[in-house]
Amino acid sequence: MRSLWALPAGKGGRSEPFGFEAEDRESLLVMWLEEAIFRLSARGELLTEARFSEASAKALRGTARWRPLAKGERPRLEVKAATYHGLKVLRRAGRYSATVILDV
Amino acid sequence: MKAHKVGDFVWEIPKSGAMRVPGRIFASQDMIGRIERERVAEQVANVACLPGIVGASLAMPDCHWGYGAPVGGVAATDARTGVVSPGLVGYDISCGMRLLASGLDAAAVRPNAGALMDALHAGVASGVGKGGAIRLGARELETVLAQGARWVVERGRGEPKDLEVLEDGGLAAGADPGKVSARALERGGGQLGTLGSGNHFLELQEVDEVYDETAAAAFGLRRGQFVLMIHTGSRGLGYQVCTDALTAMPAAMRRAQISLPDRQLACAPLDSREGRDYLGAMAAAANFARANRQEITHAARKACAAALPEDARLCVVYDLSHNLATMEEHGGRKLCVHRKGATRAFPAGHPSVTPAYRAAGQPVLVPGTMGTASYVLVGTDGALRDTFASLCHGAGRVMSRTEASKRVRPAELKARLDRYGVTARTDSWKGFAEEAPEAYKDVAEVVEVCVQAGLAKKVVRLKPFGVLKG
Repeated sequence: MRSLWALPAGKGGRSEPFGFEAEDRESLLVMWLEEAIFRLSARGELLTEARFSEASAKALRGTARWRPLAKGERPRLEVKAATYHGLKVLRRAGRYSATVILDV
Repeated sequence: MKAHKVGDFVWEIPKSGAMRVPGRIFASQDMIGRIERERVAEQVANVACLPGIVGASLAMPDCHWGYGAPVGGVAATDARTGVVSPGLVGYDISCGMRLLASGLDAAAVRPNAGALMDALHAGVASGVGKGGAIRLGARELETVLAQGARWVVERGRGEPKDLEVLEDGGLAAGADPGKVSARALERGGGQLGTLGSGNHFLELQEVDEVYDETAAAAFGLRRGQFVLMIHTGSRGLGYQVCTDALTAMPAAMRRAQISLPDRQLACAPLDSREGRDYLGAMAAAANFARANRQEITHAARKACAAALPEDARLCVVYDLSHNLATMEEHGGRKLCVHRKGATRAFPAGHPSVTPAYRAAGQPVLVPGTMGTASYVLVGTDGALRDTFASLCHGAGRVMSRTEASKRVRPAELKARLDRYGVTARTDSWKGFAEEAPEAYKDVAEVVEVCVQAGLAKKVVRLKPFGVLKG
């Protein structure tokens, strides 16, 4: 997401715990991405780092670092939403890969 | 998926599998191949699976691939037995067009086009992440969501007569601000009066062709006239309302035992709590969009006053939504008509057309591209019969933004627009290139299909000579 917005990770910001529960992994992914989209568009906070303590089929938990945008710093494009269209989350050899289409 | 030709400009996808009605696409022979290759026909068929859908799942000639439902899609569901689907409205709820007509000729404005574009660029917040001049708290924002464009006019940023010609008087029925989430309010709080980015724009245009003198006169339009066109919507507030609904609706689907081929088409029965909540929040977001276009109208009037030597006397011609679901009566049935990238087009004499335009029909504003033209149309009785009174909403993309940004060099596009006599302003030339004319279908062909299919009549054509993109 950060590279999509073409914004640097930078320094500072604050770490916060996060937690989502849903019926499936696909919904969890959308919820997580929506959190990043909301925080940037409404509060000017960029997700720069995330550490996951739980990534099960029904829950996603961990800690994320959010950095406030500097004065005049703006993302390259506006992401309206993470969509469910063509959404896939696959788990292979203990790693996840996902396909998600963003509305820009 | 193949569509079969059933008329000169009509293609049908026969009912099969889980489809409850056939699909019907309005397109020319030249358009249909791309529509099939882009899997739009498949998306039209998926929409046909919605519970309670009546008639046919429709696609207008500007249709293209969308998330779940195609852009350019129209579907009507029975008010008693049907569903509402946020994916069939789109994220940018009540994204739409507003046209302002000036008392001046374009020839009188062109010498000052650069100064006017500078004033508009300075006065209308545009581009990614740019907030408006107004920051609203939750309580005040809820009033905007209840009152729409009227809220802006009552604060002196508009004229009472502006409201007389807006779709629904600038106020979406059934708005329930209490159903708009705190997140949506927070996202929209600083965005009233902002154009946004992507394909949203503000254009200076000239009426360069009049096809129907009577209808044009009814709309206050004449050849050579300077007009100003605005394209924007409900901004982050609307996106969040759609996102919230897509999260809530699967529970209603499980209760009603609804399964659909695409999760983005998630829906809820119209009489369910989730369905009612979405309709209330959607109408509130539509009011935000209408207030947004009213704020931009005010900013445009101020820019004209600052940059032009004469009073531009900008009057609102019309304001419409092309992403909305509305309760309407068709053929004696009450229906929820979803239009995602399609425009409501009630014909002459229809009781829902604002009295000032009833004899002519409701104006349908069809934007083209910054290098081509835009049109004002009116719908016909054919549209009322065949498309639930719906028409195209623009040219329709043929190239993704990524593809356009690879193919179009911003400097070349700017030089080309200079040659066309179009003065351009933007915060992002890269984003500007993504909206190049070649990224879209030929709007003239799209309009011609609507006319030849018996759905529309042309009123005027508008040529751009100034463009502001976010």
